[in-house]
Amino acid sequence: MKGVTRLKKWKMSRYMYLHKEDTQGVVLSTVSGAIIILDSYEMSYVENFRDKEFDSEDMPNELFEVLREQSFIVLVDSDELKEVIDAHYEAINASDVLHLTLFITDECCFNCSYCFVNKEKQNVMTRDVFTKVFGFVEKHLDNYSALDISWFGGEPLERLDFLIEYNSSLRDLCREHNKGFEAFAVTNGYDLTLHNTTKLYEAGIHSFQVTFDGDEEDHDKVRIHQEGGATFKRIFKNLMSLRYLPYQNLNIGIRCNMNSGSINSFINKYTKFFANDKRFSISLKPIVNYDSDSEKELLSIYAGKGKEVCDIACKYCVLDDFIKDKFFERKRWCSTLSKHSHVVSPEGKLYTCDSTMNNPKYCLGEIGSERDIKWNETFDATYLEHKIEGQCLTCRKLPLCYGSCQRIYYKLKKHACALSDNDIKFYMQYIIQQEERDRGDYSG
Amino acid sequence: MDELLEVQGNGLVITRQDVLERVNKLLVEHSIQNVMKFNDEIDSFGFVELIVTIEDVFGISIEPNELIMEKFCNIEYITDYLYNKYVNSNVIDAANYNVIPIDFPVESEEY
Repeated sequence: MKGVTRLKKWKMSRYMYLHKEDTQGVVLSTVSGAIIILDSYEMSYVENFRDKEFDSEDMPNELFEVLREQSFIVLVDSDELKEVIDAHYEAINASDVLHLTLFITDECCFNCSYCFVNKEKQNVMTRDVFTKVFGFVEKHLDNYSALDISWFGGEPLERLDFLIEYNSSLRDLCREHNKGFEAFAVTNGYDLTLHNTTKLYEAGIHSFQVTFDGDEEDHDKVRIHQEGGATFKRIFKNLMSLRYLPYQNLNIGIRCNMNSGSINSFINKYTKFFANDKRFSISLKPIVNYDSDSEKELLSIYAGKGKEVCDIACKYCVLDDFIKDKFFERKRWCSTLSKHSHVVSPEGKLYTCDSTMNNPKYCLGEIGSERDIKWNETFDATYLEHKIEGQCLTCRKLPLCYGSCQRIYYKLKKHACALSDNDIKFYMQYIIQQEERDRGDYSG
Repeated sequence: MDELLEVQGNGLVITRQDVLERVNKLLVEHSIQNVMKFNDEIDSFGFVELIVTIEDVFGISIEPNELIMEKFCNIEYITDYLYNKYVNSNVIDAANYNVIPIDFPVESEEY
């Protein structure tokens, strides 16, 4: 079989980035997410064949096989664009996992200046509403191998008892049906105490995301308690205490918003207490105002952050995984367009994504009495029309981005690039430096 | 007599007695009666809360695998642990963490 493979003509993938430094280089496949560091001898082959057809015998067998397996090399007659787009639509239309984002309450003890949740509503997912959600899952679960739940709000821990009760019910249902189950909660961390985390973990919620806005001073200006108090110290101490829990499957993702001027100081503190605990991870994310009327702001919200991120990451190894994850193999930007992912409000209504919960225009429908989705006839179905077009068709970053946010595309009929070419360059440079550092010959 | 410690970078001078007094204050704040042996006064959750407060106040990370409740329920052991960490790793970084309490008998413009 291998002999037949070697008789064919090959070319380098169009979805490849190459970055050279003195005696080595790094290649990235945006299709497979593979990153390979090559020496100058190996790099010469990649460079020489960049725009040529070649035989497998034209390069060392071991190099050829590695590059082929990781999609850096493809058959001459392969239509990579079609393959990428087909895989993308397949990921939207088919899934082995049912994913639900459940807003358990609009209530929150914080009053963050940029929050998109309408806290005036103060709705809570009642048992009646949850019974409908449960019925929907029960009816459709056999079509899937697993259920994936994201608890959202408001602040989910404001309704801790419901959270534990509902999550336990769904977990037990999956156990009865011999299905996989994972649950994750997005929380402000204020009540993520040792006691509460233990209860939630035992109820099957093993992953949590907590957001900071930089260090204590900056964070406390923005993420204020409703009664006016500071929140940083308490949240950070909560997280410090979680290090002493014995749960190996505990997963705490700490998100630091990039608008803060004190990210360095925060990451310094994070490094001190969490760098040695692999159950904790940190990421840097922009704050996105999807309601903005500025086209420029919306189209540039994701891309162009590479230098800033790498400048910070150079100082703190804790961001290594965050940067590598930028290139993680994916088939879609987010779950909005998936027919197997639903965002459910506390009243049991379905929305296009978690950022649209305030606007009835984005209400897709609700879970009806037959345990199926009753679609909202006034919903503008063009929202779900997702086209890969224009510059995306020739973009090497397409397999990482897929045109990114559908909400922005719906609003502007333009895709907001997730990454710029410069971002990729900075991340690849960083990965080389990281390799040198890990090998012990980094002098930077 | 306590050895005076000059901590690099901040010009802070901290003695073992300083650490002992601060730990004692924290134990009292946590309603600990017998500071020499308080295993029976505190459950595991309360113990972790106390340890985290100590870490926060001193700006020192205690390695979870070193945290043995039997040993740490003793003011002398906690004091030695913290003091040795200061000596061995110069971990006080008050400018960054701002967690060294200002009632420490130290002076620094960086506060």
